[in-house]
Amino acid sequence: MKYYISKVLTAFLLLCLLIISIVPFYLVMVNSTYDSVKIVTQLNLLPGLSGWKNYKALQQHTNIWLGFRNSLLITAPFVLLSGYFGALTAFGFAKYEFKAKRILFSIVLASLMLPTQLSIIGFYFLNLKLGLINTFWPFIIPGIANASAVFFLHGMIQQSVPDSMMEAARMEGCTEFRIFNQIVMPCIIPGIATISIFNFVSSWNNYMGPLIILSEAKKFTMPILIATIKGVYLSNYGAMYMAIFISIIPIILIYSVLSRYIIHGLTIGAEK
Amino acid sequence: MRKNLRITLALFVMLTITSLMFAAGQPEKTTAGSSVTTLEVWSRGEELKQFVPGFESEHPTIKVNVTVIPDADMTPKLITVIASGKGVPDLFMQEASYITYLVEADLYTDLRQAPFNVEAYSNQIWPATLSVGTDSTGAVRALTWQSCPGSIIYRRDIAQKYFGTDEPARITDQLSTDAKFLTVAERMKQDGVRIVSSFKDLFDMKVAARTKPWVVEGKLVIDSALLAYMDMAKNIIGKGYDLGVDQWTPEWIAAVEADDMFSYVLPSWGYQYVVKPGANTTSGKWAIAAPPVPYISGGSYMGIYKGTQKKEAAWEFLKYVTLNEESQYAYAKASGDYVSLKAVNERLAKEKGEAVLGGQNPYEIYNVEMAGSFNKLNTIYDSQLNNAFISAVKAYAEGKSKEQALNQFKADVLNAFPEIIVE
Amino acid sequence: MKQLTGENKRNIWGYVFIAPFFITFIIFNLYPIFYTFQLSLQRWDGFHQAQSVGSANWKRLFQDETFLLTLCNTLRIWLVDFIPQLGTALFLAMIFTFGRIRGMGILRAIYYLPNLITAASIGLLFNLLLNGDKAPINQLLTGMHVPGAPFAFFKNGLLAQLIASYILWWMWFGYTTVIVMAGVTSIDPCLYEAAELDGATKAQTFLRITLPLIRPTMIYLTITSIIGGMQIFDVPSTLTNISGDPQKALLTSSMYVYNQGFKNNSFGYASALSVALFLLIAGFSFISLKTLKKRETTYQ
Repeated sequence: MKYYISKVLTAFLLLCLLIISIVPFYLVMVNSTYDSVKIVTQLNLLPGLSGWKNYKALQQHTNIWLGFRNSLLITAPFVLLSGYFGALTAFGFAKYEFKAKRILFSIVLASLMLPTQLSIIGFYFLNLKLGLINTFWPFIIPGIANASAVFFLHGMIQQSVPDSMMEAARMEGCTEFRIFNQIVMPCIIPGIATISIFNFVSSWNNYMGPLIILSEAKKFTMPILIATIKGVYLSNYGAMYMAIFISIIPIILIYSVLSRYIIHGLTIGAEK
Repeated sequence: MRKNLRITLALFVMLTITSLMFAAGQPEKTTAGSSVTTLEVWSRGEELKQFVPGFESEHPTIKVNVTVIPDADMTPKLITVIASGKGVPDLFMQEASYITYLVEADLYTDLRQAPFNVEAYSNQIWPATLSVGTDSTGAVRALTWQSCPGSIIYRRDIAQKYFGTDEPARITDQLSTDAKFLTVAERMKQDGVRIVSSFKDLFDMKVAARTKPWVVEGKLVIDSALLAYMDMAKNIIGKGYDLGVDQWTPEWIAAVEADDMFSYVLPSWGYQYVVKPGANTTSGKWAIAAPPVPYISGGSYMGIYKGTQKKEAAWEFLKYVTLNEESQYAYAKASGDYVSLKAVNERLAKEKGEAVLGGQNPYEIYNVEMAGSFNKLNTIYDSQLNNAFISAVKAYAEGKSKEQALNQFKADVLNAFPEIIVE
Repeated sequence: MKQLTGENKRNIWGYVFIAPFFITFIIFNLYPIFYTFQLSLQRWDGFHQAQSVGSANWKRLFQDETFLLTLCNTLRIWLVDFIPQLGTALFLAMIFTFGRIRGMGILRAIYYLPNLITAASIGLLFNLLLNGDKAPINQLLTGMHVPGAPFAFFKNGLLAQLIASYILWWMWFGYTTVIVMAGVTSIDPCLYEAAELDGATKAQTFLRITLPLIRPTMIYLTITSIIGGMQIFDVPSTLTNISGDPQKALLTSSMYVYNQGFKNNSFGYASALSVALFLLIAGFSFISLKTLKKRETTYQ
């Protein structure tokens, strides 16, 4: 009997969490198919009919697909770079002993702690000197120095890559670099997938940086375009929700592809 | 499973390469030899774009590139670009309450000088509007195509019920003092009708009713009109005379269609952008009355960057937008906005009225108001001080004593601007 | 001259591997950091020339009560978010490891979804749903005759903070669960078998074996949460339109820095605040690290 109760309770809690997780997404989706006025006056639970109208209004304001493309062009390379170099750097810290290792690692950690609101001005000056203003580079190249990837993968490499495997490879005459590419990387794919999703989202939603660095409207990324839709006077909430909805789609797509990797990789560990 | 990963990876790599191609930069449109000047303009809203086609057809050698920047971020963007000296737009815009800072900071060209000679046009613009873009030395720095006189935008049917008339002049009279306003508010409240959309609506009016600006000779001045406003607001909030939400929230906007709200006390853009677009079933039931105290609030101002290389071209565009009767008339007809040139407004006052207002022509009322006299009260601290004061008003309305609320206000002022002397 | 043994030679590769990171770091991150530090000793409004004012900004900082208030706000919002977040993640991890739930993978994937949406969009949505007497949620509650409805969600400071904490919890609990599970699944199942043989209950196994062994994961989560939590900006600012009302209950430290810089045009002071925040975050993280690590050694 006690077993039954706890089972039911557990199922109930899980269900609650499920609903809590999904409802806001659902509301965003539903709201994007309603008129601005209806959105603000009632709680809409079923899809409405103004979806196409909202989309057209959206396209009149800005070309949302251009913003989509721009966001993609920044985010994809960033994710690749941060995943690969994050792993490389983490590997360096995890499996090798060298002087100043602790200090350097603390620097990596410390770099996460700086509030970013103000450094944006210094960031602008820097990129001005480098001639990178109004390009996408200031958001792609820093992927090589992505501290959160390093921090996360460092722990993962320590846990999942046995020294014995590496020794065996060295016996066979592999260079260190090859060991990294062919042994370490495959071991930590779930970790890279996890941090990649995380970095994808943070790069995709990056607002302040692109706003300050980019000066041509045709290079603006999605978050900026969504903000311009808000408008000076009246807000077309329908168009805004449609834009938000469009901006979530690629994230969900990438996520559904990568998440299988995380789950697959995580459960492999248990079956070992 | 591995296949999926490979596909995703391939996609990412493809995108990286594409990005490389794009990031390498598009070939610059060579202007060597060609005589087309391109103007860079940063605007805070879409409205400015309406002027571009007309302008470009009249000036085929000038192209105008308008970039819309989200309102809240115009200042950060301007600061980074001006501090670095590179990439500053030729013309940039800011809202009326922030523009004073830019105007006083010597960033805009003084338009009184040659070749602009703006003073030739001074008497064509409403003086109150012109003074916002004028700095404390009298230099005209920024102009606008809008004027924003305040008004009471009210419901005729509700007015009939409580005043026996819906005539604008009578409405103004019925609400002309705080005491009268509150009495009417109470009467309406008995039937569940709110007299005004938000206590904040009245703030702009009271701010203009001051005799002194916020800061005089470095010292903070809290005008008695504002102290009176605190009590007014406390009554409104406490007794539920307004909707209880902030301005520009969805519920506030939707109240156009509600049957339990009497009025919005807003400038002309309030009619243009809140009431008119939202009035469906209530179309024809609205009207506009002059406020008891004339005031202006809001609007977008634009000037020419001091360091631009394209002064003449920039001036041509600025003139077209702010000083050209034909283009302003065309803009007003298309958008219904109230503009800055007297002649255009007078012409529009003679035309047909608005359906939403039951046939009333808003230009008539606004013209009379703009011809009145206004004190020049703006300072560079305005937007922050206004916000801080509203916070204090809310605190007072929610239970703090007046003294506590004012002390909170003074502390906020010192926190934001330690150079101001506060007693 | 130390002999370059095979091991030492190999360790040089460590430097090689971390080189790209640090080169990029020096180029892109160092300059803005120094710029902020330098600016904290100056007075600059963004438009005029910067003037050097020495430690004036810092003196002002130490007397700034509003800054203290924002720190308290930030801490409160973060704690009310973090503790339930960790709790939920541990609870879910426990169920998923020990329970036999069908569709576990899908559930976990769905719980992660909230992390994918912009904080700004969610702030907007919640503002829409809760702000005002006739807001959709209030309409629902009034319709259901809930006593006290309609609620003025954003007029009460505490309630507003709770909403902000809730939103943050919603956004992060799935992510935390995934990370915790990553740690949990790397535990050797032999340990569980041994515990079962010894007669331990599920709860005991969880508390005495699982928890201690995932300490590194917990450390990672705590530190990154502190770092993120002290910098909360998007959610409170979109909930309140950057005003931080009511009564500044939702004014977090990052918002305060932003306002001082971009609204009051006091970039020098805002930079000093930035540096102070950084030092506080670093200090806080360091203390947490030491505390958690200490417990770790007592178990081994």
